[in-house]
This record gives sequence, C-alpha cells and structure tokens, in this order.
Amino acid sequence: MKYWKAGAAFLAAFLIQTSLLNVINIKGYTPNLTLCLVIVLSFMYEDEMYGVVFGALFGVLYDICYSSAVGAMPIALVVVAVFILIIREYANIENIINLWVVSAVSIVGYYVLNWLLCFISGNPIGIVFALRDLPWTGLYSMVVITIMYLVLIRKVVKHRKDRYFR
Amino acid sequence: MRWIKEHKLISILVAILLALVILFVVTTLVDNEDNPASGAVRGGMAAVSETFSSVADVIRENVTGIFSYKALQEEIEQLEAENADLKRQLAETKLDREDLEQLQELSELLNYQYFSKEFDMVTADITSLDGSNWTNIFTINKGTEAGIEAGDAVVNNMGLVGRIQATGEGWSKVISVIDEGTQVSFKLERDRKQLGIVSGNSVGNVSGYMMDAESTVAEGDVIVTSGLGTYPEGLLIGNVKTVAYNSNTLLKEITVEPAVNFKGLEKVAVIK
Repeated sequence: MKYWKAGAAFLAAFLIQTSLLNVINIKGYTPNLTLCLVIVLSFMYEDEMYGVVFGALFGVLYDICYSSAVGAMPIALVVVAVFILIIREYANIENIINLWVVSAVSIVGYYVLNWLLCFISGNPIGIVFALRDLPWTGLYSMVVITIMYLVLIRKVVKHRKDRYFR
Repeated sequence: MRWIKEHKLISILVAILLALVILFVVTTLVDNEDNPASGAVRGGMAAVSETFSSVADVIRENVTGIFSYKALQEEIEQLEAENADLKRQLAETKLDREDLEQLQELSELLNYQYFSKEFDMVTADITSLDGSNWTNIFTINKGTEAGIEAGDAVVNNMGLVGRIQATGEGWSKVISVIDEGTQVSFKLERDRKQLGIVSGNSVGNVSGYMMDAESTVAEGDVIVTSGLGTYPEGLLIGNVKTVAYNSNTLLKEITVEPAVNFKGLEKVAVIK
C-alpha cells in the first residue's frame, strides 16, 4: 500500500465518522474508524509507519475540530500504533486471533489514555462515565477491524525474498 | 547525530511523540481557540463535512424511515394525542393571555424590567460530530457571517446546550455545558432570589452549590441561568436531582439532570 492510499483511507474515515456514521449507527453506537485503521494498518504493514504518521495527522485534525485541547487523540493513536509495531517485532504471528487480542488491548488502551489526557487538559468527565459505552463501541470497532483485515489481507504483496514463495 | 542516523525509526517516533506532547501541553495551558491556523483547518473541514452531512440527511430522511416504520407510526399516534391536548390548552390559554397583556401594559407603565425572553437567535444545523467519543463537542453550519461570536450561548428546544468555543465563516465549534469545568451561575425558577453555581461533573451531569446555606432548594426544582457571567438570563439548565448539605463548606450541594439530551442533538440555536 502506498502512503497516498493510506492517507485517502484515513480522510474517508474522518469524513464518514463525523457525518454518515451518526446516521447509520447501531443503537447509538459507532465504531472509531480512525482507530480501526491505525490498528489494522499497523498490524498488517509492520515495516511501514502508516499508523504512526496518519494517526498523528488525523488525530490532530480530530482534536482541532472536536476537542478542547489538541494532542490527546493523536498521542493515544500513536501510542497504539507503536504498541502494535512492538508486538509485531517480538511476536510476529499474523493471524486473525492475534489481531483480535491485539485489537482488544489497543482499543481499551486507546480509550483509557485518551480519557486520561482529556482529564489532564480539564475535561471533567470521569473514567467510568467515559468508558460506559466501551463494550459496544469496542465490539463494533472489532467487527470493522475484522472486515478491514479480511479485505486488506487479499492485497498483501508477496515478498520476493520470502522462501515460502520460491 | 550518529545515533539518530543509526536509529532512524526510533528517532522519528520520538520526534513525533515529542511534538504531540508539546502541542498538547501548549494547547492545554494556552487558550488557542482564536489561532488562525486552527480556524482555517476547521473552516476547510466544515465545508467538506457539510457535503457529507447533506448525504447523511438524505439517508436519514429516506432510508432509515423505511426501517423505522413502526417507530414512526407510534410517533404519529403520540403527536396526534399531543395535538389534541395542545388544542385543549390553547382554549384555556386565551383567558391567561388577556391577563398577560394587562400585566405587560402595567409593567410598561411602571418601567419595570425584570426578565425578558426576547433573544436575538440564529438557528443552525449540526454538520459534524464524533459519535464514537464521549465528548459532546460538535460543529454547526453558521458562523461569523451570521453574527456569531465566541462565547455566545447555544440552546435547543429543551434548554441550554453550551457555548460557542470558536467560530469562522460558515462554521462554529460548540462545546457542551457538561464538557467543561467552567462555572455557570443559576437561579431557581420558582424563587429567582436563590442563586447558585454549577459546572460539568464526572458522570455527565452538572453539579454545584447554592450561594445561600439557608436555601430552600429541593429535588425536582427547575434551575435557569441567572444572567451573571457568560450565559444570558432565563435559559433552562435542568432539574435538581439531589440535594445534600456539606458541613465542611456549610453549603447546600446539588446535582442537576440536564434538560438537554446531548446525544440526540440535530438542530440548535445560537443566542447572539
């Protein structure tokens, strides 16, 4: 995948997230598409920095538009991307079970870190209230992550030096 | 330098994180809402988002209606019942209206001004919001061209929503009253001499205290803005949920259920 394609995917996710998804939500819950993209792209393209670069860029964009302090979302997204890259470095097994485990940990980590940074910046909302929708939002996000993974896995390019393909 | 060249990936990661942390600290400590760069980004995104929002509106009006036929049927029945009730109330109000006109004439004669609900308002549609987050910060499609300024109060038909945090040509960013620690001065609707202060709390409500320890505030009391501070007088904030006497501060502390359902907002009005 080229960087411009990843950038276009993040831009589309941003626009869909803030308009269309609010209409086609399920019981008021919507997945976090930017987080889903960061997780999937970091998990699948461990040699690239899509999650870090676009997570930072679009996180800043989100915070400018929908937060009182800029930085909470991009920091949380970059930490998630780095966490997944480290996991891929030391436990490099790419399968759907691992994806689900890594996604679940990343989603919880992201929301806790995002809340913590928002709290530090002066948002009065407590962690229990902030995370009350997490089970459903997280589950919905996991479904979207799985769909993204199953679509993108078909487009993974075989590595020339990979002995499996010789 | 040599270490950076040898560890390019780690260096880039550290640089990005450092830049974001600095950005976070600066925007937390300094009020940057008037920053022209942020304004340009918001303006650009608002223009693009509006197109997507219009598509979303088409879906909302046409497609979702098909799947919610039963709910719509129930809504029609409920509205018909409400309509009948309102017709009955209208007949009763004709008498009240005559009394009101007499009182208005009397107040004009006495040059009496206490409470006015005549506001200069601009109605606006919500063009974009992040539904996956717990915050209630959103963008509307009216801005400086409609005379909106930062700090203006935002309401809907239920009551006080929040205030304009930043604005530009064709867009305004709204922060809800439950999303910030800013204090709002209020008074009881039934006794407007009883004042207090509330702000957003950790469970998505508002809480605060009465200025007078002898206050007769009780559960179920309606509170409205007092007109002291940011918000104009008389905007409905919500109903008092709990009242407790704090022996340390010697004040009556209250929690308030906001009148507005922040998750179901579609249209708002800005008071200029």
